[in-house]
Amino acid sequence: MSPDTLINGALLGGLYTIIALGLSLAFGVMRMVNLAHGALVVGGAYLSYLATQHLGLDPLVSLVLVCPAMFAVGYALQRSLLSGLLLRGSDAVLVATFGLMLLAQSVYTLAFTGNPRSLEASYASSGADVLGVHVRVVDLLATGLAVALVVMVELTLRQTRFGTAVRAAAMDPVTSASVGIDVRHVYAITFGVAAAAAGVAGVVLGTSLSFTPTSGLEYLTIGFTVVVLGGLGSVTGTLIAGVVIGMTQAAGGSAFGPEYQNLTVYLVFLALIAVRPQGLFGRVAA
Amino acid sequence: VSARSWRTDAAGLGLGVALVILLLGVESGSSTQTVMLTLLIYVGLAQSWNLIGGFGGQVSLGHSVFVGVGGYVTAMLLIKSGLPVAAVLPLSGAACALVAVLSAPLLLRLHGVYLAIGTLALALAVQAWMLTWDYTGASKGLNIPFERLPSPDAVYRLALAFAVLATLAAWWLSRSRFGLRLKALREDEGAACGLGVDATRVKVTAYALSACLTGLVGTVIALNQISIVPETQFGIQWTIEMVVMAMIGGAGTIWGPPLGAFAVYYLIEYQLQDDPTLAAVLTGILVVAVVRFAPGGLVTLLGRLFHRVRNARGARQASFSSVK
Repeated sequence: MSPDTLINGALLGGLYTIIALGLSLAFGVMRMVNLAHGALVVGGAYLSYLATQHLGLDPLVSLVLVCPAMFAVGYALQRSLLSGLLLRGSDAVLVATFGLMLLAQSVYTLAFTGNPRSLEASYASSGADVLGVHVRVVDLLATGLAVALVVMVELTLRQTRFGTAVRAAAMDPVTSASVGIDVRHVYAITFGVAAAAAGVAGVVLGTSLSFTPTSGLEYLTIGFTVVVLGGLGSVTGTLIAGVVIGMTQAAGGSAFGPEYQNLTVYLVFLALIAVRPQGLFGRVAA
Repeated sequence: VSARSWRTDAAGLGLGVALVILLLGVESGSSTQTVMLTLLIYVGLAQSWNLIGGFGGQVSLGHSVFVGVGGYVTAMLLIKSGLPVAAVLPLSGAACALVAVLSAPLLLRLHGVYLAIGTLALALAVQAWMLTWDYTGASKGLNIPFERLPSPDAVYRLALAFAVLATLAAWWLSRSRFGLRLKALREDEGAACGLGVDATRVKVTAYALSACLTGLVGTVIALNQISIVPETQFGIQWTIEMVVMAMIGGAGTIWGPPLGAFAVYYLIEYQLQDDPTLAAVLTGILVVAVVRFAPGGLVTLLGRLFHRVRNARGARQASFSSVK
């Protein structure tokens, strides 16, 4: 196996990190598992597709529209549906987000047909040489975005007043509410940010690979593998785990053939929950 | 057993027998039989999932594995051995129970979310594996030899039998001590264990029962399809249908999953067969609406309506007699 494979795998980890970031936030703050997260990622990709087709925007520029739109969707969903369900326990949210996933998939099919789509950009297929290794420019961009997002979220959680409120609400919602933190608002903002991160993931996914209405399920599973490996709720762990999973997938693909790429990831996940369900890095943030 | 549950059982039994007689009377080879076969397959699947997912509260997203294993074991045995179908079916069911028992140490110690994702990952891993395993034909799948196939009528009756069997299992869980232990684990595992429930044994038994019945329905699916491929036989779509139907109808009840299967398949998917995407949109909306507004499912909603009507009538009669 050549170092090229591993380095390209590591860069694929950028995408996986961005996908996992939103999942990790929602779990870390609200103990919520969002089975519709993959559908949100694909939704971001379709929104960007609309922006590139009709407004002629570059996919990366379309983020200025996609992110606020996804944030609004996330905020509204949390306020109108999910907050109430959280009170009934995690199973209700599990089933509701499962239903949302189905709903989103069929709405995408209705609007965009089931054909694979991808986002066109000049850098989508161009390559670059980094330290003698040939890599895709879009993978470099994704990794850069992933690092920037992780640093931003981590700094917000640790250094700002709002971040403190989020961490308090995560630790003990009842006490937080009694000292004047608007927990429902904090939750909705968190879910909005998670959805916006899913939007970023969708744009990266659409630029570097293709997507269909049902792609979400596959990326949901990969996202969860990253989240579990990184430690549920740990933002920095997500970045390390994303890179590790990207490399594992690339190594599995090059050792056994491309059809074994995803199988390698699933097996890593199953081995992981068998040995260390709390993840490799425990809980760091939130 | 209280008088009320006796009356409910008798009413349920009567309804069940009436439905079975009606379904046995469907003309062979008619289009109605094809539709009813699909409906019965979904009833069997939703009800089998309900045993562990509803009564046990263990939300498994990996039941497509059992549909696949049941179908593949049946197809392999019919191709490679001379065993009659009557012997192949129990073996297929047993194979699924075995898979459940073997995967239980890994999966069933997981809770809630971890269980859901763990089972989903297992299902995706098994499907990815089956797509590449040459022994079972990899992505090209298997063709069941024509001369080994039971008649379409026999396949239909098998589907009916397994739907009934799964529903009887649900009835047993709702009335037996074993079912009470399982439900106690769903409500509060710590407290149930404290009262002496052997969590592992109860959960593994219910999981194996659910897997076995799912696998038997999987064999019906394979016998009906004749040629099977991993893409569909091991497809996550089966799990989605099971969970959605059980949840819409009412998970953890006897009549919820059959009602859910009827609502989702017959009232939505079949009526809108020319527009499957619209059907999927409606189903998605229904799932979210049920979870939000009627957490007990349609069956609980109907039950509440029934009681309200009866109580209202009772109150009216009471006020009449007090006037007199």
